[in-house]
Amino acid sequence: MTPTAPTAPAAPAVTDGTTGTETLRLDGLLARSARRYPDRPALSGAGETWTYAELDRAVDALAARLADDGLVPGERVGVHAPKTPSTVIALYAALRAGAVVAPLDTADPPARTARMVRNAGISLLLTTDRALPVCRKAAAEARDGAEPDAEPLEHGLHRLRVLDGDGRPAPLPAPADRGGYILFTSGSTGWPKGVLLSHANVAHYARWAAAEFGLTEHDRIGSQAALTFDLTTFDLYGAAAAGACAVLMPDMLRAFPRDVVNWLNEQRITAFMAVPSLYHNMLQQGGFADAVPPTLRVAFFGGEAFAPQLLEEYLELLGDVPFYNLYGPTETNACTYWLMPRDWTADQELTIGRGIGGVDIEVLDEDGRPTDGEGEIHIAGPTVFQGYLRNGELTDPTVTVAFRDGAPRRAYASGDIGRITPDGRVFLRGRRDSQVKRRGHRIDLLDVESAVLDLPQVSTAAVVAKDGGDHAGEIWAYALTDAGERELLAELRGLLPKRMLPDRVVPVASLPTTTSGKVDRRALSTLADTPDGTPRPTSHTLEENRT
Amino acid sequence: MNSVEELCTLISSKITWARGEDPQSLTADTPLLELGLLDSLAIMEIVSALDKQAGIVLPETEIVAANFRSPKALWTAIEDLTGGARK
Repeated sequence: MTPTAPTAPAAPAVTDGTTGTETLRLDGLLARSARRYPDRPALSGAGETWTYAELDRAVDALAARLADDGLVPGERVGVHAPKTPSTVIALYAALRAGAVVAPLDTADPPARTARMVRNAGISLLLTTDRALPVCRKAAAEARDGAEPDAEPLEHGLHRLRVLDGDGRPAPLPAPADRGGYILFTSGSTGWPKGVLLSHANVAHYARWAAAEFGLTEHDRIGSQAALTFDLTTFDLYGAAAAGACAVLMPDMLRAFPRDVVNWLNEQRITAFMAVPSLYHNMLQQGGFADAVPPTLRVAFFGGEAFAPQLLEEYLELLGDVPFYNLYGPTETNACTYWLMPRDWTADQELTIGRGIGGVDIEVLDEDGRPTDGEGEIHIAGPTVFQGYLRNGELTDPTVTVAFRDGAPRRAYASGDIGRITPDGRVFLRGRRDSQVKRRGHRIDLLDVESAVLDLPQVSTAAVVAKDGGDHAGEIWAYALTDAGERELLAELRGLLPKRMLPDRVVPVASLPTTTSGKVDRRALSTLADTPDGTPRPTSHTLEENRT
Repeated sequence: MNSVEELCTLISSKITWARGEDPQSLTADTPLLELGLLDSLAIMEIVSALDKQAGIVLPETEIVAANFRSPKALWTAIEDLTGGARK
């Protein structure tokens, strides 16, 4: 693996007591802000507020405790807990102890969490009081049924050992031997892929965002997404880079747009990042137009396409508040950005913008040559990840390719199709594989398909994204089975997170095939309705509201 | 819609229960949100079913977490809305 050269933004001057590598570590960003702004709020949520000095001390103490209990640098630690200040303390403490940390979602089925634990080679889980039962269940599944002992720690946290000393996977290569961050993405095999990011990968983005968006110690960054979602690296580590306060929204409010809007106002949020799905809902059901938070001074969206009409409305409502479009797969963090012009209208094309500082974007044709036409978007620079974790081992899928300046770079082929203009603006066109975006989440249709095929009642199945019509964008599973839709959905609930459940499971007697004998997915994706005409079990006018 | 028990039945029918979970176990005090039983689709389906099956129109200002914490919380909101006329 080619080491990624940490380029701009340059390490800050030594005059503030910052050590050379401190700002390349996520827990280092916290330590630096604790020295600069000891009494400013760092973290707020669940009715508590922690200053930078308090947070840094708590993190130090917990990191020391974890090390005393046998945590070694490079060990992989899962933080499986609801989004509370204690959970953030656990993340930072594990990072400071040198661990490679993976946030995990307690709303995911234990069977899926267990697959993440195994694939990433996680040997230790941290959880909170409330999530202890579900964490135990996931840990037991990961250990083939053997329930591990839980040991209480400070701040209502608990630790559960999944793998003992000898069973731990071999340490990861540098720089992950000194820690890192794992986020999971939907994989085509039915096993979530662990995306391994180094401290520097995430810290570069956090420092760039803090500088570019002018974040300061007076900002309150509203953090609404689950910590497993790459959006939240901005919330937590962007805040730490600037000395701002990360304000955690209670998980419970996420499904209620009106509560989200109230929360933004009550918490006097100044900076906010969310997927378009949430912005849509805040406008259509949340009363955003009548309650634009007066403290808001910068906002961001990314992760999926924004409905053009609604985007135009937002630009009007936000007025002078800059509204940025961010793009980037989990593998590279946000890697392009674009300040939406205030006078943008829905009939205009929407760009994802230019590369963020230090990151280079290129579009390559099928022969791997830079093209002015459509091609695959490639991303190079200090935010590009280390590789995927499968069965505890690292594989680096990046390629070394020459960009149009002739210089070869270690680049991630995003799978996104687009084009790039001479002035560096990128326009998205679609995907080259089976990935889709649903409700802001990246979902591999083959991942859903393998879950459907895992059901004993199903002999064969195909999962497609509906193309056009009332159901455009919905995920439908067609299955050869005697079982009913409700029964199959109930089974899938045990295997897939809610956000990945198919909108419909349609029992069929046969699947259409192409002339080559393969399942004709295109035909299925455009099929008007269910082949046997069975009515939908739910009202579908509200379908897009699912988060 | 005459009782909180009926409301429980309606809510239960809109939850995608996993195997091993018991739809009958839903009571007036079940912490729906804390247990992660409701996602936004289920919430919109409950709202729509209340309208279609019972003629109860929940205004958007009432579609908030506080009213969906438990069946009892939603029942109270419905009673407040209908001025206690529903019995």
